[in-house]
Amino acid sequence: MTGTVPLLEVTNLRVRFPTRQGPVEAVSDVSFDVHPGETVAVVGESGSGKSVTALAVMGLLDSGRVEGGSIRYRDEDLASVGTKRMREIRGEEIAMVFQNPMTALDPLYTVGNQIVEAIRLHRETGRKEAQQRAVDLLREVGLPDPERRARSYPHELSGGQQQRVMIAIALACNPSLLIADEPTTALDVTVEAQILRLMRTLQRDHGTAMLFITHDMGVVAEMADRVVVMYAGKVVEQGRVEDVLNDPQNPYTRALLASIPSPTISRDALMPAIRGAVPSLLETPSGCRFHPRCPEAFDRCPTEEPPLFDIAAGRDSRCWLHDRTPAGAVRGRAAGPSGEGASALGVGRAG
Amino acid sequence: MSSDVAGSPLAPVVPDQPRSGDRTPPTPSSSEAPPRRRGAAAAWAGLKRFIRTEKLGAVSLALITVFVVMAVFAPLLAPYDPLQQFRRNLTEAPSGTFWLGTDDLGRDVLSRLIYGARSSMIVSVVTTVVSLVLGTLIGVTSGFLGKRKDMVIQRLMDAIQSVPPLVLLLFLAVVLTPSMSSTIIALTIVITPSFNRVARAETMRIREETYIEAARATGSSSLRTMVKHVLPNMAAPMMTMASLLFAGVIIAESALSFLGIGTPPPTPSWGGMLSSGARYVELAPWMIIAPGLILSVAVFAFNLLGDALRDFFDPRLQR
Repeated sequence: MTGTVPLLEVTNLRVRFPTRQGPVEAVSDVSFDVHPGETVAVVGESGSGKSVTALAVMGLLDSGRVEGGSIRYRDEDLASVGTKRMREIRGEEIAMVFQNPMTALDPLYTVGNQIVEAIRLHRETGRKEAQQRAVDLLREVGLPDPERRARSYPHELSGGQQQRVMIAIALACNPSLLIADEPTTALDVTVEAQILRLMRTLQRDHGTAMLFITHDMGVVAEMADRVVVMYAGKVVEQGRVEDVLNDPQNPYTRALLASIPSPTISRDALMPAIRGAVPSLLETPSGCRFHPRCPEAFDRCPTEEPPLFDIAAGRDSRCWLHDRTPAGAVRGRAAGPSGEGASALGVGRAG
Repeated sequence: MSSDVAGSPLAPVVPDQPRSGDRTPPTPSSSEAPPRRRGAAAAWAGLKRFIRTEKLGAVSLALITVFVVMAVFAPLLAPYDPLQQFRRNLTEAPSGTFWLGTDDLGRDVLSRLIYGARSSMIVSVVTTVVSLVLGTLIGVTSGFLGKRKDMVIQRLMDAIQSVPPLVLLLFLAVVLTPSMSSTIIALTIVITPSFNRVARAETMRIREETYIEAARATGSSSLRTMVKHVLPNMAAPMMTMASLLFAGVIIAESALSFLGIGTPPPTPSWGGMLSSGARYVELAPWMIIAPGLILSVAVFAFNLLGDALRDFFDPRLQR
């Protein structure tokens, strides 16, 4: 993965929203990249800035503004290309699938028409030809009887079918990058599995890279090659999916993974959860933003903000526990009860 | 309103099964997508479908056609000259000679009614259409610009609306000379803010919809998004608003005629007939019953048409 040139390279991205209480930084200093054909998942709780990051890449921030950093797509900086070029890129180069398919389709047009629109925005195609392509796309996303479906209005389709249509629209111009913003959150579990499978198949067939926004670790495991964990507008950990899920280095990632309810947990026991709530961006905690909720926080956490520590090749984590300098070594206690992570950490610090 | 029902997540989600697919009439499976006719043929097909699906709409359309025919062919339809005074037949009750009677100056009520359709129809249709277009333009622009510009535009509209309509009309009566075009101008000024208000509210609502974001995400420009997605999605409430205000305009036109800046006498207008007839209610009730009835029917017909159009243009309500 490291050998190829990244398709999308987000560096030190900052996004601010003006509010009545003053500017709020929804995304601060976020960096990651997406290579051709790979899937990168961005995970985090609500309010972690993951959707804002996606919208920033698309240039679709309404009131927010990119205040710093760069978003490079191939060899263009999306933050500064200008509206006209950005319009060409949207749909043609980078397409997006939204969270709620029920509202993402215009209720007044047939789904066939909406796909035709998407095609004709970027391609000099005749109406007939575009309609044929629309039907082909609907067939490709697995809608039964695509000729008839093309004539259906969105309300005549189920949620899963609507999301398939959204995917068809996104793929209409064969984009190199697909941004999926929680595409299955609004669907029920059986449909979710179908849609995820479909997206994987299409991605393989078209060689599309995917930026997958989700809050569901299960989806991450199923879809992604690499994962970026975000908390309160910052990247706290990133790395290959197997590594991060099997051996989470950051206490936040560990807590997030620990809060996945398992079927073996007793019905009377409390569901595992991270105590507290995501901090309001108006009053971000001092030092490490996670420290008020962190089970492993120590005296350094509230005072100094940890940098991203490069803990292995292609693996970063933002936590003072990784600090191997003398100042960090003062800290004695090893990480909490989560066995594997703690021991791995211990080894890391000893070496 | 109806527009919220279909989009609500309350609808049962059956995993990937067509929800109402079976109700759509089976169409011959050809490999081509919907055939689209253009121009006149498409309009004709649309009209036929409208008459088939909207029964009440068809009735209202028929009534409105009658009014339009009345207005256009008034000279052929009216039995007498609407200005001719039969001095010997003042306030005569309906009879074989004067089907709807005569007024206080001995003019034939039926002829005046038929000619009156001209001023009433022209004034109310032109006013409603012009205010609809103006109000939509202002409202959508304002809603899209937002922030300070929106504030300025809306306060301006509020200022117009804060003046009682009658006072505003009186003021305009002083400024403008009485004529049909002044009536239209005056009423347009009074009514445009109402359209603006609905258009702005709808714009604010629609611009937050995901399908607008989705349209932009496929590379649609702002103007294109506005024309293709925002305007059509606000057509239903605007249509309803138009039919409601149309009724108001017909009545306001009569009020204006009464005040002397409406259609100037002796040109017949329904409003003018009503106001002059009001003085003779006990003596010659036919003077007021005929124009009153036709006014009510006109208002009713346009209200029905508004409702029918709204239903017709909403694909979720199609049967």
